Amino acid sequence: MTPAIEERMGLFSELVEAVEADAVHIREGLDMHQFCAYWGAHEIFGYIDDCVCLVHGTAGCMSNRRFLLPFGGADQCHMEPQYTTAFSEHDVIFGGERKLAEAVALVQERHDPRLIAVITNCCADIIGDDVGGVVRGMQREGQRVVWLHTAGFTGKSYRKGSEEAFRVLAGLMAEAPAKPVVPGTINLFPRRWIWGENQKREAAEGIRMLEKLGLRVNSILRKGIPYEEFLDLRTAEANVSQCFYWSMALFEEMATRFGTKSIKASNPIGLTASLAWMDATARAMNLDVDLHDDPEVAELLDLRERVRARLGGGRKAVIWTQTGEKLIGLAKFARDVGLDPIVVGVDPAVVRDKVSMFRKEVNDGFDVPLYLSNYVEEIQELVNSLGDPVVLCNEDYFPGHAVFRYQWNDQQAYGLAGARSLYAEMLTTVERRRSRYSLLGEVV
Amino acid sequence: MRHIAIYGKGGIGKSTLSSNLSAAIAEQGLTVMQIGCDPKADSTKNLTGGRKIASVLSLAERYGIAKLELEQVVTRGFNDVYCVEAGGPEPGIGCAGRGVISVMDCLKELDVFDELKIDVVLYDVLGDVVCGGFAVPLRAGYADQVYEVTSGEMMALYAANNIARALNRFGQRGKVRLGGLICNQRNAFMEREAVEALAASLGSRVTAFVPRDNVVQECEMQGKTVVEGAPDSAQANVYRSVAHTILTNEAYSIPTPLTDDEFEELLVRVKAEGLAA
Repeated sequence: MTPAIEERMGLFSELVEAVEADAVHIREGLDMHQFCAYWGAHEIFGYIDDCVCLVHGTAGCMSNRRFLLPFGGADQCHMEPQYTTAFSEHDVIFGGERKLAEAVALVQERHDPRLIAVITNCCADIIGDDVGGVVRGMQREGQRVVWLHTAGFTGKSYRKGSEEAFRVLAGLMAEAPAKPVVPGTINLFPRRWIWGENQKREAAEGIRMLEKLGLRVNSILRKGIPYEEFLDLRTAEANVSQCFYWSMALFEEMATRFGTKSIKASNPIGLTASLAWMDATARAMNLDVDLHDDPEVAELLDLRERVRARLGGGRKAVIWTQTGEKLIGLAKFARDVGLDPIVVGVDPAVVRDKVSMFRKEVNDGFDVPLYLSNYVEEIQELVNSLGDPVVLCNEDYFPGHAVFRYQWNDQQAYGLAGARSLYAEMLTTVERRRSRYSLLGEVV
Repeated sequence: MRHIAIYGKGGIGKSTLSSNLSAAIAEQGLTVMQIGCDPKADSTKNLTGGRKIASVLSLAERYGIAKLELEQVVTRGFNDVYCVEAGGPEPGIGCAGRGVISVMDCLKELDVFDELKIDVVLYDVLGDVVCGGFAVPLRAGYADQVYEVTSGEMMALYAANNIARALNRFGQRGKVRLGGLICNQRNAFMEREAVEALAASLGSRVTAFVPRDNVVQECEMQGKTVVEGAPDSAQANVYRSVAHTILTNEAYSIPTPLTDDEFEELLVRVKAEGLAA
């Protein structure tokens, strides 16, 4: 490493501390991965089959959502009904309250869903429409109408929006007629923002891991979950997630309201993390399970040894990801296969937004070297200075290097089956250098 | 074409003053348009026989703002003063400031000033609502002269100082300037002194003192300006004089507003001087 590069090196825990101490100048609006509270809330309500989302405000937010891949536009038509009051200038001046009441009535007339979720975007919240005042009391027999103020301009992040939606939904669970908890059952919150066959594979793997422990899955939070089934999540003894920090707010609410056990294991990526995920789940459920003699685990240990041998122990890995869960998951995965990771391109805004998650990980002993960079050229400089690292990223900026692409939309990544898939991909990665004559290289 | 904005605290008498000024200016043979920028939409009532005209926003609600015609939004009143009311939403809902912006855009789109060959535009603007919408007349392309209506009462003076803050900002960006303060007298303690002291602190002057006179209320009860209802009265001549002063004024400034502490000190000082005297 050159002195200039060394100057930019630090520890991830130092960045977390600096963000906590408000010592980092964070430029607002640069966190392109996070969106705003509207998106977070819309995603959560969008999971429920018998829920119609009604967006109060301008139409653009809802329209964009229909075309964004993570929300279901990748391989199928977006068929779930959703409505917007589609503000015009007229509505901004005179208020959109009457239009909102009409829209709720229209949704009732056309769909009469079990749940109507009214969420606002910036326009409605700037003019201060009294959303609660309008919709309160509009619900019909057997129906609930809930609302959230989710305007992004207030600074509420995507995470905040999803948390608030989860809290509203937990409130609905509490209002439902009481049901007994069934011991030995567990809810699975699988990997999100994937679709199609891979989504099914990941969920099936989550179920298989839990069943391997002798647990019975009560329910899976998935797109299209019926409203009643969602309410019945409360009948499980515990909740576990493949991405804990996303589901944390609902876990907390359910722990408080129903005593549901909250398992904090997350990101079962690679064998070490997958076994840790299963071990944490088993302990929380008071199960004594030893997987060391499991033939599948033994097979994966062998495979991992081959990967480690092929990679060479202590080889550097450069991990480039902005999102927090992936940063932690990939750093752990790199160590799982014997790599020595450095994370790059970490957006302090992401750290701030998810600081409680990072703080917990740091407290639990997680840390990783961090390289501060502003531009891709600086990351390229680091990669070149490391000799022959493995680069874990989803871009093609590193011709001539071994690049492990983690764009896993179509690749199984979680659990034991995911570990097998990732190890295979890693072996391929080492054999296959990125072309030095990539389009990007030519353009540059 | 002159664009003159009249700002001041709600209830201070802006509309009374504006409509009498419009009537007095029109008497001199100039073509005048008065634009009421207040959701109450009653700025021009005394120019139109005491009836409120349809506001632009009420028409927009019915027909759509893009479909409005000049003849719909402009009403001819006393002395051929063209009257326009911006209007606004019901209290407690929507965004009245955005309404003002929308109305100004509409008037521009209809090219009303050139179409009607207006010499003087008077904007009568609610001054104690401080959102950006109500500052539109201060922005580029609209008013170039502003008069602040106040009395010697504390809250009216406070609003005047507040408006001076906006003027200070917009004045540095554009051509809008403060023409002076107009004291609509309420016979408050040390009224003249307080208004003069504030004007001096702002780097401006008092353009006129308008005395309190029951003839104003008598004419308003008939739905008329004083210039129309009591044209030979002393009060009508006061308005004519104020109109003349405004039209011939050449002393404009970018005001230097006081901080809240400085404002308090000014009032305390004036009051103390009054008590000592």
